[in-house]
Amino acid sequence: MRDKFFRPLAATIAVAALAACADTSGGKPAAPSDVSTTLTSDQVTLTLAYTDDPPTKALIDAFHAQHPNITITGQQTPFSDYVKSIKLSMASPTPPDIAEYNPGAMRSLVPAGLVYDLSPYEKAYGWSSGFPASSLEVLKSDASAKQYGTGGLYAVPGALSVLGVYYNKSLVAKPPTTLDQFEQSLAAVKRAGTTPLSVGGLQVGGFQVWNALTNVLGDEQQYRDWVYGKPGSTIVTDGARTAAQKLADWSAAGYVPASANATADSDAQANFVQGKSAYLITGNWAAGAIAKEMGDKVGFFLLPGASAVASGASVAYSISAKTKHPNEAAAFLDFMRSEQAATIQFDTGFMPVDNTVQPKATGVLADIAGGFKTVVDDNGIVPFPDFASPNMIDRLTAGVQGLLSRKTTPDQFLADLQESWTQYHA
Amino acid sequence: MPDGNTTARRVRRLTALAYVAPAGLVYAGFALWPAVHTAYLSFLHWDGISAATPAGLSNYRSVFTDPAIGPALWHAIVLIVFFAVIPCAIGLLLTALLQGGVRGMTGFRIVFFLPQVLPMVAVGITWRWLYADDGLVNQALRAVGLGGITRAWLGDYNFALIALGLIGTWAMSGLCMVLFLAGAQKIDISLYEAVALDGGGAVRRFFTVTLPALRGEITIASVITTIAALASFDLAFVTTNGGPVNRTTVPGLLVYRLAFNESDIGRAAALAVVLTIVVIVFVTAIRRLTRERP
Amino acid sequence: MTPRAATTARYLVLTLMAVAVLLPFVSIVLTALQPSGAQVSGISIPTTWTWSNFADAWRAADFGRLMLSGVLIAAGVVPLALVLAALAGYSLATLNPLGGRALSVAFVLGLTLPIELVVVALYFDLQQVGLTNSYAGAILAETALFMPFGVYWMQNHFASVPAELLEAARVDGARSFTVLRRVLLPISWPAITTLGVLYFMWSWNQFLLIIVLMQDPGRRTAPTGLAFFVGQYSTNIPLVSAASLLVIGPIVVVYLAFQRNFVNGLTQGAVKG
Repeated sequence: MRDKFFRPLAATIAVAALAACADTSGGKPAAPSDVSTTLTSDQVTLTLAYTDDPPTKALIDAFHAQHPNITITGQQTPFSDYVKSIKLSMASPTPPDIAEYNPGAMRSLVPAGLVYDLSPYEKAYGWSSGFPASSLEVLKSDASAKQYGTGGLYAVPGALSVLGVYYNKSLVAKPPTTLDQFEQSLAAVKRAGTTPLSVGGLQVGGFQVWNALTNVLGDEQQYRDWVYGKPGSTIVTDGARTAAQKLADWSAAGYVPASANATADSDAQANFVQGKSAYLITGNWAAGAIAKEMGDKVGFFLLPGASAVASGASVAYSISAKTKHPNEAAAFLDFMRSEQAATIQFDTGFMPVDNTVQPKATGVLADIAGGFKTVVDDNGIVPFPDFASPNMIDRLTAGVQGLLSRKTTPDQFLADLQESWTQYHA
Repeated sequence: MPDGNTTARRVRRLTALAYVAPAGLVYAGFALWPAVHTAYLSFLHWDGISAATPAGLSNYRSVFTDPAIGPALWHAIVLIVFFAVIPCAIGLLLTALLQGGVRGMTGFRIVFFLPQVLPMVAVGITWRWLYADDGLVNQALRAVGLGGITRAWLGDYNFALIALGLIGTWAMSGLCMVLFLAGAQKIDISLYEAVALDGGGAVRRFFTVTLPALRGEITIASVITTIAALASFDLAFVTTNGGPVNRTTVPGLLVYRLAFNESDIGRAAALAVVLTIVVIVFVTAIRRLTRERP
Repeated sequence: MTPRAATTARYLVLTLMAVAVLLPFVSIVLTALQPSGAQVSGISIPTTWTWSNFADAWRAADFGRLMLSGVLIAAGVVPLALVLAALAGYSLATLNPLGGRALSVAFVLGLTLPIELVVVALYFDLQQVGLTNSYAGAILAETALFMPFGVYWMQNHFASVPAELLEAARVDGARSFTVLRRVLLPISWPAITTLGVLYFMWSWNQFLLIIVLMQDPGRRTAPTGLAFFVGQYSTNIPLVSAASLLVIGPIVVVYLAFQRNFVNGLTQGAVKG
């Protein structure tokens, strides 16, 4: 009892002492020692915290089949709860060995030294081949985790994703090929008495619409710099403003249901699947579930624009610096570029990490593969906006709710995002 | 031997302290100390992981000036109307109507009190469904010909906070009512008879006898419900998560977000301290207002 | 108004109130009995009564584990907090300990402390000593948070015991602990039971503390599990309703069994202040 009372006291005195002579250098990333690609033959159990399934569960099972002595226990949490709780979880004394990595929510784990810098494994395994460079870029950051695309590697992609538009083939005969056509189609669906677009404004679904519009209306490099935290970047751009204005206009025109702000992502998806709306803007992570319900009644296209640009990310995995089995965890990461993993990644609606593998696809999965290829060929994959700063996800969600209810102007919306960015990067 | 006596008493009083010690240590170590520690953290910039730097009063300044934080305090105060004022008013009104009691009161009491014992998370989830597009609330509105005003209440810019507050009204009214009815039963019947002899009616009876007699109950009901309003967290967390457009953010939600999602421990701590001060101010004000005047 | 009409009016008002309180429950019970994934609208009678939602929700959210977790925490909190509160309340009420008045004030002060103020630093304090993600940590934290009410309740209770009873025992030469055990405890069970059921309820329903202190989803409690379950299955309203009822169930059973204690605890305990 005494200890439990006095140790925190000692800790605080220590904090106070630190505060008195503090510098702002922050912490230091952690690097693994004893790096090896040779695995133990003992029975080993690893825990993996994740939010995206598919593909995680299938990848775990396939890895276990290959390494029967390594058991991976998965702990799944829905996305909006995952980003809320994963940092606490990783900082706890008994964190999961492997955790799905979200560059926005989890960046402070880097300077805290709670996730490993995987560069030694990158070298040992030769990851520079087998993983497309663009997919590793957003998983790299400097030691203070303020800027992406440079420095150490903190996670490895387990499947690639891209943001696009699903459409119900019974409601939309032919997918639009320009943004104007898309808007005309929204109007036509509305006239026919159906909701044009399902939006999960309660969670991330709202800002994904703005994100997709910004991708095609704004300058790609400007946007990328902003998310990556390049000094002096801004989101207050004409493209982002036009995108916000369009979203507000769509809401005013009734293209978006009035209840969007009370609609969760899974509700928006369910409404679309049940044929209550013609379009849904979300990522290919939902493809598996949507295809299962709708079969060949659903198609996918990238929001059309001048050039093929779309937000994409990866279901990526990082390794806790507190794991007892870093080598075995790294082997799981290495498994992601295998051909076997590629098949699983593709079959579950994602793009395979190893893009030389081109599995056969039909239906909506073929649409996604085709769309993904055009973006990758154009080098048009850009990161998601919520990676830009730790509280950006809340600013985006609230801001888009304001646009949808027409209580926030596009200028206010962007100024608010930029304020959060400046606060973090200043 | 007065000396020996005093010493013996001292020893006895010290031994008596040993009975309080275990409770005191747990309470101090796991509640008071963290509270003080939080107050201390409010003067630092700290991300919970790297070294902290002194912040002076800047965290407090930002609590009041940050457009995303300031309104949360205001929302909590608005919630007092729904968690405390309306339930107490309903409780008093019904007490006045029901005075004299009825048979089968125990059964009703069980029902009225029920919302008090349920986890707020489950209450919130239930109401999320009731307020949905095709939930009970809109169904009822349509049934009475108000189909025109139906909406997803928790997602509506103007009504979300009110909708959230009404969940509190639903949960707290029973508590107020049970408290007041129990208090009213202790009132001496002869007091009412005296008013009646004076020619006073039901209204005067209520204001001259019932209301003053319930002073203690009113104080405690307002204190409990006001604290529940100001320190609410569970309800907003599962229903709106602060939306739409931060219209239903409450301090508890932001303390959690700032501290554990955004790693802005200093500001979270400052907001928690401000919230505590607001709670203390309100509780003191209620006690003052309802104190018996000579 | 005739007395008879007045009585009828009273019943009418009471019944209306009761309906207002119960309607949400009727709504989710009926919804929980709809086929899984069905499109439900307000209150509607299921065409086919489906009981499988409960089993499905139980499995999908792993409620068996969550409830066990909740029971483990409550099983630690309730006895520990009762013993500590009874000892402290006894001493503060009858033994006049050194600094007793200040101690009483310190405990009462805690009645107004919002959890938000405690939880920020508590997380880091417990992390220091390895007590996050641990049942022991959650039990100690809850015990501490519930202590002000418990001490206050037991102190009031022991203060209401006739002084002659204590005097008589002391004249017999009984030591203070014997007085507590032999004289006071036997007549205090109603007060202790009441405090016990309140403690159980608060522990079972605790949310903020658990989501902050318990990161391992397997160690969370039923309400926390429910909050995360909804995020996953919010579209399947029948399933979510069934899950809510599963979490509400145990506490309602305890409430019905001890309803007198609950009502007395929260009303009398409060009014004495």
